[in-house]
Amino acid sequence: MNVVVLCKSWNHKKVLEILAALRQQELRARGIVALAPEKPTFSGLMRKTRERGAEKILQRFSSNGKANSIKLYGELPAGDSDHSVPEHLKNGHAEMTIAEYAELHQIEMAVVRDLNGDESVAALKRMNTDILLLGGVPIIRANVLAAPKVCTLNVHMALLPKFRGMNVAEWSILCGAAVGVTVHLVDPGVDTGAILYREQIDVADCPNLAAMRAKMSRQQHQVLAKCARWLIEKKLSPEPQKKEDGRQFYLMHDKLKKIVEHKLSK
Amino acid sequence: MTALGPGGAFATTARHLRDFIQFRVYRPAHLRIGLQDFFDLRAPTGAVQSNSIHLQRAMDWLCRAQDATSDGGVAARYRLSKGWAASYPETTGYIIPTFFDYADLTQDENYRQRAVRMADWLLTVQLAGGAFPAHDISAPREPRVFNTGQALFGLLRAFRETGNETYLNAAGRAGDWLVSVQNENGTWSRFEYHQRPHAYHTEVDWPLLQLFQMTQKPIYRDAAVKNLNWVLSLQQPNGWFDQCGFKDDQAPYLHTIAYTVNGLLESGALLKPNQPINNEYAQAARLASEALLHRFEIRYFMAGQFDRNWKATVSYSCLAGNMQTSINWLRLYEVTGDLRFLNGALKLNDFVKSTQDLRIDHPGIRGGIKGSHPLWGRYIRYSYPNWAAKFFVDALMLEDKLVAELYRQEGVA
Repeated sequence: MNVVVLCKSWNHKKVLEILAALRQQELRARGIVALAPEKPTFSGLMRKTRERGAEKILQRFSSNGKANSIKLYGELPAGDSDHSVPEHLKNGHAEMTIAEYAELHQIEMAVVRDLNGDESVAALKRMNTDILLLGGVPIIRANVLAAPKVCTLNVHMALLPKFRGMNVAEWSILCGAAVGVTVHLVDPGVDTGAILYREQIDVADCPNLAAMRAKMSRQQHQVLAKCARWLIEKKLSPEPQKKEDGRQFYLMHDKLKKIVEHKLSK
Repeated sequence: MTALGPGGAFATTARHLRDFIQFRVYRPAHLRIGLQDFFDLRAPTGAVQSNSIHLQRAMDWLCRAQDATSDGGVAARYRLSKGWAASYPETTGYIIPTFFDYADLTQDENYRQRAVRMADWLLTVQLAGGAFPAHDISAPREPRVFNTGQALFGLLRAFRETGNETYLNAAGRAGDWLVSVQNENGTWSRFEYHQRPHAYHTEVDWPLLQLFQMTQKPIYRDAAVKNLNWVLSLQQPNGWFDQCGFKDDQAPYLHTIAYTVNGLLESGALLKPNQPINNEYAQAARLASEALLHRFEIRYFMAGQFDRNWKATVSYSCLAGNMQTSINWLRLYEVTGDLRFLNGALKLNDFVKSTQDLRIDHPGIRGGIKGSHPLWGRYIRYSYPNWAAKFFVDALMLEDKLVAELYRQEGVA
């Protein structure tokens, strides 16, 4: 089975974690289709200035692009420590890009301007994609979802079907619900595809939101890779979702995040 | 369409040039806000001030709007072209409760006295039949259904606060007039904008129900329920209300959509106080609100006009409508406990706070809320309407109250 990862070309940490998790499951990605970075525009700069404040933008320039909020490189995933890697990429803190990793492991990589465009579909077909894994991408349209021969998988940072949408780990805590991750088939809706696997995660040891997200992020990639393996072995049976069983949640406001932080700190 | 044809580059440039002169954008203070809007230089997210500062500035602006007229009413708007407008009975009516609420919040008698002055002025502009006039008082005085309903809010609150029956009697006359001009099917079309019924008359039903509560005269309740049921019949499965705009050939403003929703929600709460959400009116309000919430959240922006598929038809924001919607969502959170509504309202409030200029010296602009963002959006262009500031104050006061309650429940300091 050919497994391909669809991602953003600058989302190094996340994608490298997925690739490492796949290797732990003895799966090798056949290819990577990555969205090219947006060209900087004046309106984009204005929007970022408004959203983040001028200080953070200036900080980026003054620190040569190494400000914490705008991390350009991912760390070498722990799962890869047993593979032969160049000296400068060894140890857990080495900086590596998706492209470097792909080159190192001879994984075909296509950088496209639109993940939902023809270029993306053509790349997936060229890679003879059986299973497509989503690695932190915007809503994917039906034309792309039709490209893989078997299915498209996504891992969601909450227990479906109850919590769909964004910031769902935070919403789970705010609503006093169990926290976990769900691997599901992707359909054109938002997190509405059939559920393959759910795993509850204990976040009692996470003192704050950042720690919780980091823990869940690590685990969700492991779960995604595990499900890819089980799917190939035909060990999973999809459980369809009913629309009315869940609700869509959106980006959480800081005033509500404060409550989540408080709950975690307790 | 050629570049020189209607709507082409030439026409657009000509329109901007005409606006520039007509609305005196060349004046230093106007130019500043024009440039701010052109480059969208709002306060960055997270850099808006605390609600109390924004509230105080908006209340200061409303006080200046009242002082700009010599009669006790509140100037309808500050216009870049002509300065302060004359007093506006409709909005002075619903600004009265805002001043009483703010007086309670700050324990400042000055706001209470101002509210009473507004109510006294309302008594002087009531027409012989009991109706209140359309437009601001510089226009010929013609009776108007919707405006009469809004004046009711002020009269009833003034009576409740002062015990002075003059206000209640005036409210009774206004209510009687509303009942007398209602159509058999529960609609109002005579003495209305474009002589046609509107879904946003739910915002007349709500004060009529308040009047019923105070007088126990069933005619007010019956008239309100008849109209509410007509509005329910206009709702589509996607939550949209037909006839919720000013006219048929224009996509409705968020302002009138939010009126429709608000009237249903509050009327439902008055008619069925033990089931504030489990009643048909509140459910209708919730369905429409869910649709709007989704639109807003997926675009990170609230458009000023929508079509019947809830598709935004414009790229500007109607700030008064934003604040009315925020109030609706806050109230829905209050009665349902659905935190997504609170979350959306917090973001809408932040957006409008980011458009409020707190520092400019200009008294017509400082603390005021624009009709549209950017300034040249179609809704109340190049102006600061008093109702936008009023809804802004109401929304922030309600947000503060609900967030404080939630933090208390959760033990957040």
